[in-house]
Amino acid sequence: MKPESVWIFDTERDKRPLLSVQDLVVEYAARQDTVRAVDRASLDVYAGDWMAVVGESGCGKSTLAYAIIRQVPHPGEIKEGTILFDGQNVLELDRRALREFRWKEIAIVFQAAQNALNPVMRIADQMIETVVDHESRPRKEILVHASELLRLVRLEPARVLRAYPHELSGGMKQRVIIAMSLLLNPRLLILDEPTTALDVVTQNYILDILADIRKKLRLTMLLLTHDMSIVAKVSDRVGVMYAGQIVETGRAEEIFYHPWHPYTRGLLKAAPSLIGELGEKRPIPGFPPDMRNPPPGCRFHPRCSYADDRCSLEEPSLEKVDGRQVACHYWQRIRAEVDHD
Amino acid sequence: MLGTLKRVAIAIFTLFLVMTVTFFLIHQTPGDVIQEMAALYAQQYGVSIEEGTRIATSFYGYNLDEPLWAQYLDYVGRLLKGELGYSLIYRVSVNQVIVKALPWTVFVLSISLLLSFSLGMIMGVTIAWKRKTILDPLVTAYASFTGATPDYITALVLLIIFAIRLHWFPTKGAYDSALKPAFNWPFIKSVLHHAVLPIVAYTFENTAAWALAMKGSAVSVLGEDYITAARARGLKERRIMFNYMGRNAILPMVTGLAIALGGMLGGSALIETIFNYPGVGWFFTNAVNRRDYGMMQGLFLLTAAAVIFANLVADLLYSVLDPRIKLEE
Amino acid sequence: MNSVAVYSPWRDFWEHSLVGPLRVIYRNKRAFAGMLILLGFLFMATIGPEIVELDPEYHYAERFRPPSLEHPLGTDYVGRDVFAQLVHGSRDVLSIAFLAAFFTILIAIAIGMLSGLQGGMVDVALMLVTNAVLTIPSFPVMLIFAAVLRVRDPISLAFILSIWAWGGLARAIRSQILSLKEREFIEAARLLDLSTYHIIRNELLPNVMPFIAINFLTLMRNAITASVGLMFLGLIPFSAANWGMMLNLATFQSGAIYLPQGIYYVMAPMMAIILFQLGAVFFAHGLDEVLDPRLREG
Repeated sequence: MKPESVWIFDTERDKRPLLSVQDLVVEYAARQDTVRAVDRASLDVYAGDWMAVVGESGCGKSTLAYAIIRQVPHPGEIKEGTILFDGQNVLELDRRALREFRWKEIAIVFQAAQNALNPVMRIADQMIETVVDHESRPRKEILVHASELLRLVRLEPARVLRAYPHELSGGMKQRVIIAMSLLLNPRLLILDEPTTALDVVTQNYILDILADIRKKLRLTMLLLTHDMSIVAKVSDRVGVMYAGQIVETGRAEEIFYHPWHPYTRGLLKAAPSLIGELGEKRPIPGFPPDMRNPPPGCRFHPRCSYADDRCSLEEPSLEKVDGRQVACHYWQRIRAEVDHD
Repeated sequence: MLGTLKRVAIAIFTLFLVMTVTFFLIHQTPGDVIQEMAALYAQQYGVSIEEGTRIATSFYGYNLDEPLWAQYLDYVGRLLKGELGYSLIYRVSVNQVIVKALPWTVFVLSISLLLSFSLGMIMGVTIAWKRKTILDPLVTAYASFTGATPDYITALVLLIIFAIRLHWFPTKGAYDSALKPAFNWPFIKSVLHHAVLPIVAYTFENTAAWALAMKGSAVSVLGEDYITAARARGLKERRIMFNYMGRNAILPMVTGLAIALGGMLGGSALIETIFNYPGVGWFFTNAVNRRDYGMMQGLFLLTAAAVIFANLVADLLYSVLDPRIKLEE
Repeated sequence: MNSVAVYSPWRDFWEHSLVGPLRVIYRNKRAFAGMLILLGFLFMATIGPEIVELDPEYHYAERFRPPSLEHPLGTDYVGRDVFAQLVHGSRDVLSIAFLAAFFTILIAIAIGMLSGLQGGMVDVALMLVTNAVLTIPSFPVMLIFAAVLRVRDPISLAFILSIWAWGGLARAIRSQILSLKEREFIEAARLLDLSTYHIIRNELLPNVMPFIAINFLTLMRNAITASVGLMFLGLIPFSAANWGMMLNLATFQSGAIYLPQGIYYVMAPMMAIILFQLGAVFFAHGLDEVLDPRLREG
């Protein structure tokens, strides 16, 4: 079963979600083509949850993360959709409000965060800057707070604060970034592949630290990853992303033991099972779609063993059933099969 | 520490190399230069060739009867004592010429360097920061133009238009010859007035290059993750521009300062001549034209030493400014 | 029978250097304009003097005339046609620049290759020298050379122009050699026991050539700037029609810059120089695109 470090807030379930992304479309305008990195994705994150969004590389998770704080990199643009944070539409914030909003409400830990620090400034100064541009607090107080956070991520404040980024190891920098993300007590922490660049031992260490933080600060977390094992270890809720769309969401046990979407099922079969018995490993046939020209209808249909003509013509909409969501014409069929297993 | 020593050693070695090459150059056929000098001297001052030879030799300070290596050692010895030679035209030591001329060159060059660097930095940063402005193609065109035009032509054009035709600026001197050097406003005003055209010439020629260099550096810095991360942290735009982009983009420019100085010193020979501005360059050109080998050699060594030193300082400065650099290679 | 197609890097280089490049240049308007300008000057330098006659006689009555049908760019301080001087001068200017660039490349290849291939102390010593050459500004050095050595003909002038110009290129060639040294085909050639000369000629040079080709134009440009500068100061007294010499006469000896009518005489060589340099710069941008396809638009 699940390890103990996970703690579920079940009272939060009926409330309105903290973050609600609806039908988001993000396009990148390349020289001759337009790539739809996020193709009408919808996602809800509830306060207190640890939500994981899992998907292959290139499925659009990072773009989704960037879009939530409106920092999609240059040739990219948010074309359609709404992003509601605590009822407020992030897409309507003006520049000033947006700058204040960032980090204070939502903080993000990027992929390869090792490079997220200014090489010519000491850590202490970067911490102070981060706070000072949002609220006025005396330097000493900020440093005390920063030291607490550094201890929380199991780093030694005295040494780290004085250092320049290149003097720290990759794992240490990652933890500094995490500590920095908590400086303004954000309500939501987004982590984009926080452990990808690290070795397995450090990975576990970081996840441990994150679980710790979450417990102590009662933080809501959105973790994006392609690694199923991480998802299995820590999340309360899971969203599955494919070709720029969220195809299934639900509680972690539901997704792992009773997946309703063919892709989710395929993913679980493809990864060696960490839960239950060691079944046969079977990769999903085919390749992820070319997002310049995605397949018509359901994006997954070329690789799906349940697909028929309807799937190539009609895009399935995200249906809500029993607190779960699934986007597939034949999800009931899959449910029946899975329940039967 | 080791890295610093290594760099200093290289600088000293380079200087010695230059000294040696200069020595042998001016000495290429021992006696040849002296003979020429003797003949010239004899002609100009109506003395016999022997007398001319004697005077020429004594002006050079070395004994032609000695073997070459002894002369070389004499030469090096004198240089180490700081004696840079003797000028035949003016009959004073080169050091005295330098005392008179160097301040003017330093004055004009330092202001020009500062101006062109600052303007260039601002332009470069602005172009890089805002993605599409009219400024970009303008500056690129400006850079193409100044890159293609030799600096002396720019200077000549400035002279013709602003000094000769419009009479806005004087055509010679560092200050009005009627005035006596003093710390009063008329003198200072005259100095500034005379310095404007040379400064404009240098600055106009160099600004575009700085702007493009800074643009390149800034653009590559802007592509770095820490800029994106800084924005995600909700930092103020101004802070990102200065502390994040500015401080990182300017690092590679530091070595450029020494190179620019070298280029300006090289161009000073022509530019000071065009404006009749009595700096080191003017005296150097004068020495070359009138075959005053002593002064040629002395001033050249001064220039070389200055450039070598500037490069050394820039190198060391870079390692101080960028905490990532360790001097050991 | 069995014919084995021998891969010759040289042939590859030549094939690649005509049709493809011309198309790229044509598409880049600025580079194309640059090429036209350069061709124009080439024409002026080669055929020009045969077409346009230079009358060396002094016609004092015709001094400083403004441009007219008879004298397209006016006359100089002794009544000679400025345009004719420009045309005749271009031959000297361009040929000296060409020679200077050529000499520079020879020196740079020699030093760069020696340094790169030999390594060790030779490399260290040569690089120290190169470093010195790059640090010390070249114009004062050239002035000294011009004063000390008697410059009576184009070849010695070209020599002086190249003496301090090879630094950057030598260093770049050395880097190229160093990186090529690691690559397999050199290992293969060594294993096949091919002589060093063969390796240099057939493997190294073709790889270094494109790089040198781009720099040739830049070297020519620098040579022109330097030679005109030297002549402007009156140090190279062997040709009066040369652009630099024209500037010298105009500025220092004829008082042309002080007279309003003299403006054409002063402007003509300046415009010629600026035009040539611009043409070279624009064309060089195009060459960049030819040799590095990543820079091409669309």
